[in-house]
Amino acid sequence: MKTRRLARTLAVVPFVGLALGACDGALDQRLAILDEPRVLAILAEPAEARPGATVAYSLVYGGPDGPIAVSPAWAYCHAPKAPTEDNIVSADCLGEGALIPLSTGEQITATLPADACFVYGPETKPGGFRPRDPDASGGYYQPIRAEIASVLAFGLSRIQCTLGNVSAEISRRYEREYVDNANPTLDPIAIAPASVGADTDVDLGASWPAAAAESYLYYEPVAQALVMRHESMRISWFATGGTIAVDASAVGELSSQRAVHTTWHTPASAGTAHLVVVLRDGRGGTAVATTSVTVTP
Amino acid sequence: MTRAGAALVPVAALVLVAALVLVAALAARASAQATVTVRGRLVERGTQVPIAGAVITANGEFAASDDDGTFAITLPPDATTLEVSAPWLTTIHVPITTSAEGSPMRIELDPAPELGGETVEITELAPTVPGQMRVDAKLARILPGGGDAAKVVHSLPAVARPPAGSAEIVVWGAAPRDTRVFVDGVPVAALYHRGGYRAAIGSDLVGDIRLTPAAFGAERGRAIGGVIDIGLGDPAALPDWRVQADVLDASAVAKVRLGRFVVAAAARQSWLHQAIDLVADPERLAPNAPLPRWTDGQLLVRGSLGDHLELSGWVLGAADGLVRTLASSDPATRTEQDLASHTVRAQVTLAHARADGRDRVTLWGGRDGVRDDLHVGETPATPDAATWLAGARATQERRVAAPLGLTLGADLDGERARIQRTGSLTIPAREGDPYIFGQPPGDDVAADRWFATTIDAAVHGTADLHAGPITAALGARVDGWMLGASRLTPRVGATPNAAAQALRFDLDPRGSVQARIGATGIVRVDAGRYHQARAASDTSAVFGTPDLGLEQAWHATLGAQWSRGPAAIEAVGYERWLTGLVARDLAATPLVAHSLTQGGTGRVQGVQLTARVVGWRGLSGWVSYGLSRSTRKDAASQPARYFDHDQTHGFLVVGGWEHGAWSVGARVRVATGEPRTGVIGAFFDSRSGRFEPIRGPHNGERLPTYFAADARAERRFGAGQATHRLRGAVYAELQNLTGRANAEEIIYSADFTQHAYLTSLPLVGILGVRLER
Repeated sequence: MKTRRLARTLAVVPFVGLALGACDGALDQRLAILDEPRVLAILAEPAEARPGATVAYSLVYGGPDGPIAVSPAWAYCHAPKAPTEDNIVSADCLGEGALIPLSTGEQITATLPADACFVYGPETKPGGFRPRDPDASGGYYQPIRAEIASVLAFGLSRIQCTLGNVSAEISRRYEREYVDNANPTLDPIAIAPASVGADTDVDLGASWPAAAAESYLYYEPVAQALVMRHESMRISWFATGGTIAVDASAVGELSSQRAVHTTWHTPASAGTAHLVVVLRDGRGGTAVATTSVTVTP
Repeated sequence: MTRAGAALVPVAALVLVAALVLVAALAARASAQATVTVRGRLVERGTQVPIAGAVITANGEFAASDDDGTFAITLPPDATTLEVSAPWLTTIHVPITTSAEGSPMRIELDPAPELGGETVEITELAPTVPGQMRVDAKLARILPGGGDAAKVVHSLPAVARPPAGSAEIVVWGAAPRDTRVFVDGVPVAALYHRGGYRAAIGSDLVGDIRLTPAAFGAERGRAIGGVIDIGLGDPAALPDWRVQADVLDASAVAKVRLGRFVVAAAARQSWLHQAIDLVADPERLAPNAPLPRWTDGQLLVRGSLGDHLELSGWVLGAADGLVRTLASSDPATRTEQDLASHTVRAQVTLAHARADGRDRVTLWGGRDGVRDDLHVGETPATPDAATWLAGARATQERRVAAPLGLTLGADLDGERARIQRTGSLTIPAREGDPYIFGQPPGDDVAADRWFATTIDAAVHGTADLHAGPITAALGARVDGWMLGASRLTPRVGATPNAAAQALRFDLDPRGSVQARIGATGIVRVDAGRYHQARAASDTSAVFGTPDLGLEQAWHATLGAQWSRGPAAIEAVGYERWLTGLVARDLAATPLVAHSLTQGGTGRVQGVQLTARVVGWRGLSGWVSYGLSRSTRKDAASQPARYFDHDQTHGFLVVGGWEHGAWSVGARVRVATGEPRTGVIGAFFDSRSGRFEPIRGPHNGERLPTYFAADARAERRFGAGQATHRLRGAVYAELQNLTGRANAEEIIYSADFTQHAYLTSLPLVGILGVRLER
């Protein structure tokens, strides 16, 4: 037994430094607490549409005092994104040269560019160009930019395009059977206990109806076949004070779960706190729920 | 078979037939030569106890003493001296005083000084070629590096400081893929296990390590960077068995004699991940301390067939695994990885030593495989590749006349890779990608499955000319390449397949001129042209370009060396010009099946100053300073940028000192930080709910300067009689003695408004023990 203890000690000692080293240099990677005004989401209605269709866009903006009404300047981006670009949009969309200006307002309507499937989708002009790759759900997206006092935010409006690099038979079936994505809906934010005291742990719950997580047709590129998939769900949590255990919670596409929970540690002082929950489905659909809570001493 | 493939078959067949003919010729020639057999008996001085297991060598032949101390060795008639050695004995050189008809020799030997164990014997550290480095494995094992001989490569002057957890080797500004690693002349997939903690070749079997950072000769090809040659040692010189264990892993090696042959086997198994489990949560360590698992094994057979013929063969196998989760408070940025890879090589070599030269024929084969299941959020990246490789190599070195020597050779390398890949184009990141550490890759998803074939048949020749103080080596290498990919366009349903096939030929001149200045100085110029094939993984019709060809480089070095006694000082300047480099097509909409181009170019310039000492009062080592600039252009229209691993300044002190039963090694390194692309702003991505970076100039920033001091000490001990002595050692190593938190990456806050550095481990210690007999 003594020998085993010695061996364990010998193994442990050299790695004490190693264990300490991992703690260095950590930065705050959290976004859940609204300690300054920030864009929380951009919503498109409908969530998926064909080029030329009219779509309504709105922006959710929040800060330490809760949701803020703002009127951003909207614009469609018209610069294609290179396949080697890790960002969601081309760097050209950060300037003014590759924009299609839209109107200004808290909520606007705009017509999706007719060439959206050429610029951002799998359709290519003659010349043997490479079709763009879809995201993990098989979707293509038209970027829309919102600018608020030099702060830039991009939303992605899902566009319905034909499949690229597939047989005619698969393309026809996809065209016939694919159902456009619809934005999910959220039930009111559940808080337990209902009476919220300062500096205490509170359970936050977000739930959605069964129809919110839709099934959809997906072209599986390895098997080169159409398969049915189910939308995954991801919930981002925001509060104007206190701390939240996680920034986001997720429900995988194979799960039938319709609710998620996290813990909100309430602010130390009494007052009004605001909570925002943003639900994103796997195909780019978005729903937002907000509530105000009175934190008692 | 395609026309291109059919055309290459005769070339390949010719090389193989030539190799076989050469084998037969060697055997016939050897059998015709006269020889003499020397017999004798080894005893320990004083006790007169017979000594078994000692090695007797002369003129490239060797034999081992039997249990009663007797030996017999067949030698050419002009042999004059025997060398008798064993790890526990003092090596001696004995004049041959008898012949086959005379009485056997009686040789008395003394035990090794002090308490035995491994004695550091530096046979060659200061090479004759400026810039080149050869390190004996015994010295390498006492230097910081976990006692692993091949780990010394990361401590050589021409090699850039590797990032923590990296197994990559950057030699004089060349990309890791551009430098080839050979074991006894056979190319291997990688020198190190994943994570870089250990070499993939068992330390006990390594004999020496030689690095030629540029302008290598015509006998080596398919690389546009440098060449690393690992020579396996003589298995007869190994102890009967040896076991070693430390916090990284455990290993064992044993040898046995089977007639004329000595067979050695070695194996190693890591337990680092289990050691970490004792003290920390591996998930928290994962970003800056990946904890891979590794296993390797080697089987080595070597023996004399008589008449200066030596037959050797080996099998090297290594497997790596890495399972890790980078936890995150947001599932969209949670990373999970399950990686497994393996590599196997086997070879047989017949070598023949002649009075006027030597001949060598090698046949080899192998298989590499890697399967990576990586998910960043919901975005997958799952490369899966299996590659079969085979080759043959034959060389003949001959002194034609006093001023003229010839080296002729032919070699054939071939590989066929089956690759399947799913995920974003940007995983894995390529050299030159404006990569921001911690940023999830693009979520564009594609998939492909394809085969790639690469065959190269080559002949080469070099003439060595001597005229007074001038020595010139003029050579050339002619390569015939067949490059193939199974699909020229992406798979679309059941559309017919069109494959990409290409035949390429190139003539690469190589040469050097050396002038001796006085008795101690030399000045030397080396230059040559080099080619290498594109990587098989770049030939996808979806992720790459199927009809990629060859990358090319010109090398030139100019060096001077002054040596006196155990010391040498040298200065060398070097330059590489790189063209046809495979690079991303930066177009927003590239052509189909052309995601990569060969429009990349590069230039590397530098100087290196090195001072070395060999075996001076037990001290061996080197001090070096390197000044380098390595740049790349990804396309003609792009500005030049720094190479991802560019290291402007590198200062290195490495030393090993042996005194009695103690060995002490130390290393101090100062190096400029690598270039990184900075972040000058951020924008909000509503789909992910995260911020994305606005990048600054490509590789426009640098990590802070790196500094680390490492030390290693070993105490040997022994017990028992000389011939059956149990020997052992206890060793300790401390890396980063000053505890400096060296920056390895720039990390950012979630909104990219703040940045800090991900730092390496402040202090790492390794304790271990070794036993042998």
